[in-house]
Amino acid sequence: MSLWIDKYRPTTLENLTFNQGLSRKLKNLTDSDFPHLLIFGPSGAGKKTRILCILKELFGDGAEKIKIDQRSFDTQKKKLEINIISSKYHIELTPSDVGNYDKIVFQELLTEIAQTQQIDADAKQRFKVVVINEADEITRDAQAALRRTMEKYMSNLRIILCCNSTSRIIEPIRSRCMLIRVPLPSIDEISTTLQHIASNEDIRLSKSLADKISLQSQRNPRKAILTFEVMASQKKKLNDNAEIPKVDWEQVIDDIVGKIVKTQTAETLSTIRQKIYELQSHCIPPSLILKKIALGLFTNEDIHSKARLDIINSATHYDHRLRTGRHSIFHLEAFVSYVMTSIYSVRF
Amino acid sequence: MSDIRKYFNAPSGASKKNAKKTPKTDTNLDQSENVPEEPKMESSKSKSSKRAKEEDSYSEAPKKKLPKTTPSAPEPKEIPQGAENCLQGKTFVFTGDLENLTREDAQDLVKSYGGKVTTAPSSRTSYVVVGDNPGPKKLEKIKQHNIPTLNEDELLDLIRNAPAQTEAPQPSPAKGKSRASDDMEISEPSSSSTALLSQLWSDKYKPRSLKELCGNKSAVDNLQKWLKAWESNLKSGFDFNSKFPAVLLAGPPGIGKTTAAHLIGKLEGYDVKEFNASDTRSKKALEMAVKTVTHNTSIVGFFQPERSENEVRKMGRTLIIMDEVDGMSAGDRGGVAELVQLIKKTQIPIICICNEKGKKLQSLTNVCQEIRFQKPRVEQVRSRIMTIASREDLKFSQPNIADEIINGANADIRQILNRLSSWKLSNNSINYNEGKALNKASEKNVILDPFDITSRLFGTSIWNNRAGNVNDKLELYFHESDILPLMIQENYLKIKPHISSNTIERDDVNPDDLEQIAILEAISKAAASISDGAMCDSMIHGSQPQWTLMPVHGIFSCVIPTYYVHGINTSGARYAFPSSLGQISRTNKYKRILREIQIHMRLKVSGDKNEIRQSYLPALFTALSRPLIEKGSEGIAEVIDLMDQYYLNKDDWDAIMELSFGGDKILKEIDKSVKAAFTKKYNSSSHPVPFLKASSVKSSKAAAASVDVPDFEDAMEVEEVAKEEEVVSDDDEDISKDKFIKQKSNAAASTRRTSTGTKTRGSRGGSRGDGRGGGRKAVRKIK
Repeated sequence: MSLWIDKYRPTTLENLTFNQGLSRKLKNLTDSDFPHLLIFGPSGAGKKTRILCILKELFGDGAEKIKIDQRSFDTQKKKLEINIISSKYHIELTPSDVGNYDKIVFQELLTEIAQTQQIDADAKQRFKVVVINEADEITRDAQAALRRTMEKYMSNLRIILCCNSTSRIIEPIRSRCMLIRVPLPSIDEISTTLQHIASNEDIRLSKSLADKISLQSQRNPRKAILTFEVMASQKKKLNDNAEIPKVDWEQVIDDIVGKIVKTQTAETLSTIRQKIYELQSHCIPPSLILKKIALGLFTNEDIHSKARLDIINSATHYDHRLRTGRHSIFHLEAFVSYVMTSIYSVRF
Repeated sequence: MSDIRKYFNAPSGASKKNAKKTPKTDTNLDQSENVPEEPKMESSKSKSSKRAKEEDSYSEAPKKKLPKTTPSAPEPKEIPQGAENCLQGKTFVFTGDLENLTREDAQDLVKSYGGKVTTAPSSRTSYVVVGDNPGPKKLEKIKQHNIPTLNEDELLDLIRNAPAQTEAPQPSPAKGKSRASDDMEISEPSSSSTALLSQLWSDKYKPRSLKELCGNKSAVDNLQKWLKAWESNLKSGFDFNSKFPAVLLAGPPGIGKTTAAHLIGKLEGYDVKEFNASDTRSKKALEMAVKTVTHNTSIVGFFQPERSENEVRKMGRTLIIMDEVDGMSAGDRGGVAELVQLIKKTQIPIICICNEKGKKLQSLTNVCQEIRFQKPRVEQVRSRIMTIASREDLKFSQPNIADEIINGANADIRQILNRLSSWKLSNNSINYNEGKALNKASEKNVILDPFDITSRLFGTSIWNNRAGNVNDKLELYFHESDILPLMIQENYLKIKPHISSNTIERDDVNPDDLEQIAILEAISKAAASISDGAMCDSMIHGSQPQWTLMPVHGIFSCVIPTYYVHGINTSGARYAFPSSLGQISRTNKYKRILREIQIHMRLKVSGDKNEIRQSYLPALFTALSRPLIEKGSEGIAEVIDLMDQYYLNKDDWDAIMELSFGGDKILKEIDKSVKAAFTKKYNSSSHPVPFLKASSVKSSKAAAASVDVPDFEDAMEVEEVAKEEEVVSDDDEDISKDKFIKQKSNAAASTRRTSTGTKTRGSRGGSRGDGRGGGRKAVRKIK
């Protein structure tokens, strides 16, 4: 028994339900000369699923048989371990796992892979594929190490970069790749999928509730399906106005937003600081915390419309800082305190 | 960076006030920069010539300090030059804020003319200087005792017009002290300047007898008692409870610990052998040096021409002083442990001396009697300083100078003497202001701890109109540039910002609300500046370090925030140590756990670790805990099945509970017996593992590599691969994979001749990795 999200995951380009135009395009790509790809889009949109489908299209079923290895590197300072997911045709890396040492991964591992040829004589393609996850988290140095490899070993190797946003990918790499954006599907599309799953699982799910779930998950299909499963596991019968549960960390953020709206004092800020620490230590990225708080405040009905401008303005300002500065808590706190001041003083 | 500049330049409205409050008078800074470091007490005689060179620059340092005038005052008043000691014998009390002078400046002014300043008015008070907002209690007392009051102008007039008093009463060195006779014995021809240069004062006037030691009477007595009883205790055996073979003297520097130890040792007739930080004191060195001493008899006594019977009895005994034991670290590995062993077996008394007994010395405190040396009180040191000064022909213009200097040096006698002796090189007398300047010049040597700096920055006194400029505050940052920004950030929310009463006035708004707005604004500006500071920080510590930004960082992270937010600490508690440091390590721990979970699930799930955390974990959390709560032990099988599907192990189960908010609550809901049964059942069955850890494989790999015979490798390859299948415990292994590996190895074999070693290793490491070690072993068996 696995979760529905994995049970109903499409594995071929033909079966993909969302973004069918894109799927056709990808199919054509696999037939002709396959370029380096840079696949980007919001999380949950199905980037990885598409990559898997592409690999399957390129190499056949063999690409689905994956396994995990762990490799370790010795640098002067510390020992690094990196997990490698591979089939016989492709290798998948997450260089950002080793933080600032990601350059070494490229220098050692990628070159190693790139220098060898495809050794399966029956393989459909003469090249191997390297999938690089979280490409936007890779340092600039490592990206620079990558760019030459991409050209030099073109005969042996194709690279698929997978990331959320291209803004942190350096220009030379972007120019070497074919850019493919995978957008989030529409609410209708998600609802249809949900209902498809529901009928297979023998659960009654009305269209309106499916829409509600899709909306609540902000059009993120992965989240929608997971939420739906949690709901289904709690109550077998789902009526139209069933409450959609929020995930644990979103509840914490809602709590923070409520506190900001209710009282604007230094004490509140202190308690919020603790909550933000909690969120951060529980692996919620700071920029997501900022985004969720800002949107939560923005959509809150008790907020004066004049304060809304301030909220968005300062949120963008501090979001930029979160990406460039150290100590994310400092920026988050500055944002919250600014917003508090603005909410409090706009009343007068 | 441009936005930072914008923020710095225009913190709206309040910035004008900022400029006013911090007048750019750099006199203080210049002054302190000219001052060289104090010569160290331990410096040998050769250094004294160096000191002579420093003399010139030193003499310039203490300029006469003028009371600061403030730009905000309507018309700065002239501070009159009064006759010397014109306020001699008069006692002043200050209350309220003066118009022109800060309280401190006014008090200094009075003191510099020989007046005395007390805090509370009494019948003996000559004048009370009353400013704005005087304390009601003090006013009451004034009425009660009928004390004449002055305002600021009147005080200045008094100074201007008061007649000069007679010379300050010369401090009499032997005033009522039995010490007089001892002093005679140590006197040296003070007029000879060569003698002065050749010996440090602190050596020259080193106490020669117990009476000369300043303060710590009981500590010295205890030490003496211990040493007296030592012989008899040795015979009866040490119990490490009340009878110790060694003592540990602990106390701040410069108060005579070493001197006391030496003195008492000599007094009790011991031959003193000292080991200090200049000797190597590692385990081995200690063994060599000290062990020989502990079992030996000193022969020094035999060579003394005349000896009393008492001396003969005591002859041949040695005392070891282990000085600066807290300095036994890095280079002296195992030194403390060895010392402890030594103390346990010693045949002679050992005195250990340290400044602070930290954790390092924990083992030592168990075997030593502890004697604490406190820094002496001002009265205990005063007369001795006076004696030395008069002996050296250094004249104190007012008697309270000695107190001032003693306080300034934190009663560190050695430091006081050093300061005075360097002063003496250029001047023959010292007055109150010069004494103060002398302290100020040496102040830099004091290292402040971050808590002190934090409370100083948040305190109101430093932000007082007339108290120091921006540079002074920035100076504080440089005491602890790493931790201070974090301290400020941690604590600024605990401060109730001091809001001046003349903020924007609006009739339509409740004054309470106005105040709240002002407070929120102050906090928000402070927070914004802290955020600016973090930007600087990332530039300083970034890939291209820009250390020149340190002052900017200091201003942003410490000075500006505390400018906006300073006042009373509302929490009442001490300033807290930055919790963000703990949070970082906690975050890293959870990140590691999350990565582990993600990689375990990777065979099934495509999402990255953020997605796992944000979407999967909440769903898994319910799916993994609900069956246990609702169905009890019947749900166990369901949970384990799900875990196996996702290659999660029991540790991951625990981690998922820990990573979810409210996980601890849910854990409590699960029945204990169910939980135990779950653990038991999980451990008793076998589970699929996605991969083996690299570290666990590595050793066998290395072993295999060492016996690897390259010539046979090609031939064995096929069998090796066949064996490998058993090692990889993955259900997904099927014929296609099997086939592939064989083909690949064939291909590898065929291309091997032409390809380099790295190539082969690369293909193997990439696709097979872990199975390899086991495979190799199998090959060896076949051979």
